[in-house]
Amino acid sequence: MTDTKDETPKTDAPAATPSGPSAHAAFQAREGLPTGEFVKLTPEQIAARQRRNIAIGLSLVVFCALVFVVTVIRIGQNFAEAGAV
Amino acid sequence: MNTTTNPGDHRAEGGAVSTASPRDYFDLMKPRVMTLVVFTACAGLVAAPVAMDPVLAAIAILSLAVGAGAAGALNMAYDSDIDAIMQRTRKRPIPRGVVSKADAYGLGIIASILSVMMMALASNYLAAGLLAFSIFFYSVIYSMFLKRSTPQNIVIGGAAGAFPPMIGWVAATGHISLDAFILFMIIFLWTPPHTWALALYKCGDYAAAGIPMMPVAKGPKSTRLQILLYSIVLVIFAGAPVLTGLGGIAYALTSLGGGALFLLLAWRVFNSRAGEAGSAEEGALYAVRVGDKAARDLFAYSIGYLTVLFAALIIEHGFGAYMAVPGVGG
Repeated sequence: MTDTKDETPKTDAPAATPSGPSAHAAFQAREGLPTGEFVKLTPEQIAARQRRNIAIGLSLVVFCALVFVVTVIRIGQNFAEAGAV
Repeated sequence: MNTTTNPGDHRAEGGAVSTASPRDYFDLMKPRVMTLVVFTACAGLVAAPVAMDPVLAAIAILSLAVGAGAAGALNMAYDSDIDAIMQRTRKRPIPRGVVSKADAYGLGIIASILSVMMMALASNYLAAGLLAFSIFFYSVIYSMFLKRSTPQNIVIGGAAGAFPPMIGWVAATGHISLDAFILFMIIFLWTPPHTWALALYKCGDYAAAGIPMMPVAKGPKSTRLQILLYSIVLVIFAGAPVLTGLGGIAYALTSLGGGALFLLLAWRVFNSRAGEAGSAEEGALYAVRVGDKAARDLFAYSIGYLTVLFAALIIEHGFGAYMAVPGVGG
């Protein structure tokens, strides 16, 4: 993903007479526009986001592992049933 | 990432990015309720006459726990406005502002889909269908329609919490039987006296939030009477597993002793002034005024009663301790 931090935002609103790209970014933040590119995270937010990312990653790994385990057991049961017939 | 503030850097500090931890999301799933769900589902699964592969059984129980948690998250998302008013729920993640409603809905919907899917893979489509229905029943029928509109909200809505042992049973057997229905009914009948006992000593909380719980809508006297009546029906019905042969001697004794104490506590509530002239507004779940102690005791004991009842079934069927009651049983 390209860094769009310094791009001039496209908007229909009249120009906000920014003195530079950073000032324009601050204007966006004041207006509460969720650009996401202009937010400067606090250390707490970064740490929390990292913890959430790890939790989501682990959940996905567990989910995949469970699907794999269920598949293996189901296949085993099907083979056993087929063998018993 | 560099987070130091440089001169001329006008980026907003923090913005709307969350500081929620995984623990906050876990709290959305009502872990205490999940514990009881897992326990009762285990009882249904273990008591079923068909043995399930232990790994698949564990995955089915996990699916059920996640499904219950998903329903809890959806409930918290929808009820966040009244949760912020009530003392008992004020510290939940959404009222505290650490998790957004949208995030809670997202978690609830995704967890619902994954849990039902996993249940279908690990057991059968009927169990998965029941799980999907119970999630829908709790998060839509109960939370969105019943809870704020009728004093019978938890009587009807109690069905959602009664499904787990039936789902556990169906996961193992693939069909709904009379015994599965009896397990369902025990929790269904247990829910009103359990919840109304809590509502009696937290009725000020519910009134402030505008929830027509029985003590708020019909008054404490009527509620105490209904608690007693439901308790009598519950204790009688809790003996049904003995008649069908599902419960053995251990269950019968537990049901008799536990039921007698349940009735005693319900009688104390009936004769008390619980719920009269305000209630305990501050403090934790069990904090009450002196007059409300009988209701608090019944609320606390009812959890233990249900736990012991289902534990007896688990011990009898899971640990080979089953001994049929002479002269009865199917």
